[in-house]
Amino acid sequence: MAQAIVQLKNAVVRRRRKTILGPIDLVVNENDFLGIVGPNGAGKTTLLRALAGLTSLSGGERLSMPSLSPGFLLQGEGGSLDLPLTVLDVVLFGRVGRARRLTNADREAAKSAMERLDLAPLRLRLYRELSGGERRKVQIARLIAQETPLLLLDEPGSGLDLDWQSRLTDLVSDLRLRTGRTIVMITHEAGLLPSCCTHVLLLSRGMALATGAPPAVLTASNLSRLYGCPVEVVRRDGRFHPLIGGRG
Amino acid sequence: MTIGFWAAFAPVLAAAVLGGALAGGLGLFVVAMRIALLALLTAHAALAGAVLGQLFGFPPGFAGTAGALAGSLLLGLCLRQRDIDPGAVLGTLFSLMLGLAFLGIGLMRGARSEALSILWGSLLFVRPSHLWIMAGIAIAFAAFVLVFEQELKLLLFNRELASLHMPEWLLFTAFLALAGLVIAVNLEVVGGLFLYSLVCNPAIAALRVARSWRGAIALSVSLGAASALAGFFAAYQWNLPVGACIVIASSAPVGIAFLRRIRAS
Repeated sequence: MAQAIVQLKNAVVRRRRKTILGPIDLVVNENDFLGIVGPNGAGKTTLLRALAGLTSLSGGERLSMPSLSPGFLLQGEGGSLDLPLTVLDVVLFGRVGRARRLTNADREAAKSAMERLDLAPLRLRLYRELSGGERRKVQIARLIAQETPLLLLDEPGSGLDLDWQSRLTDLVSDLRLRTGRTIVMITHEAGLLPSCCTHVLLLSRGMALATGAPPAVLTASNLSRLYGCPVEVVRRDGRFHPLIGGRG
Repeated sequence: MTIGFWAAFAPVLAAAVLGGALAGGLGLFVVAMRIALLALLTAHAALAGAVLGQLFGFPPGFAGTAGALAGSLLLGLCLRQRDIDPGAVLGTLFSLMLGLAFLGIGLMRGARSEALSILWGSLLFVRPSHLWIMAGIAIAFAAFVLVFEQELKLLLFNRELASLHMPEWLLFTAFLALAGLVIAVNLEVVGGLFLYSLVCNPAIAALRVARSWRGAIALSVSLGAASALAGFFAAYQWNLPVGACIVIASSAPVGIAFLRRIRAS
């Protein structure tokens, strides 16, 4: 039986007396690839942050493996662009908190993560001088270097052009296949979920609309309910691409 | 310049270099955390502490340091919530400290100069004991930065991310407490205006120009010390106020860094 890495029991998050998430139950097991799909404002980021322990719950509880430090891919730049930090500095952030000082093992892990993503030639470039796609790649290298069992990805392709979105989906897929880590990825576009995705949760107004294996959940009828308009689903290369304007 | 000049001004020069370097080093963190007003907040918390301390019979120097420490810790407490705008919190706390200081001044009877002098400092009348205290706090600050280098870099990069790796609020508050002590110790010697400008200007220039983290620290520390020396010598040469010359000298690297950026773009 798969071991639960993190779970939310009857979790509720309220802000200014308004419920923005829940009540919701969610279990993320070892080796799962959970895709969370929902429109803007559905509570996806809040749910991911609740899983990470970054958002305190107004009700219910969060249970996790002892001393779990999840890898978190934040939306946007990932951090301050004021600082003259190199790509290597940012990748090494994945190793902070393991030991008092950085060891050779930490440097090796960072080096290997950068090599895997072809970032080695950029290692001494300033992070703030990279393009948006390159920065996202550096952030993924940081997650690889972190060697944590759980990766939480907040819209890894947001704000990027189609080419970078597709490359990042391939990267996430490759990361999953090579390392077998548990991944939770949120996206407002179901087509960005890689074919290795094992479970999908459709989130609408902070509540679970449907959950299960991708073929059972990513249907035209479910996605039409989720987005409130007729949606057709085209399946290509193991991925599910919703198209607006289908027969619903 | 004669041997007599060097003998007379050696402690002043040492204080200027030490104060400038320390403010430059501290400034890099404070500017990157977007809490540059910390120097002003702590200076006025020290003033409030000194004034209220004198009212209740405590030595102003001790009460001022306690006030500065309390001001920094209060800021840390308010910024425990990471989504609060630090600028707004600093503005509120700064006016609160100013209010407390003026309340204390209004209630005081007799001489007020001892308590008030805490804000202005007096570089030209620095005592050897001050130099030792400044050197001691400089060593403590450098040790803190070296020991927690990775953690502090991550904290500056993204506090939220840092919280997934370590007890970030503890480190943030410890840093603020140390920063409060650094400012309080230097305040009495170099004054509030000197400190504020040397906390901000060298760091702003260094963050724009440097190509590495350690390079930025070295540059900010060097620019702080160099600005203090340049300001002092300009003041000596043309018989001008020392503090004002140091502040103006510290602005020059920021101007150069901006011009460089404009030329590059």
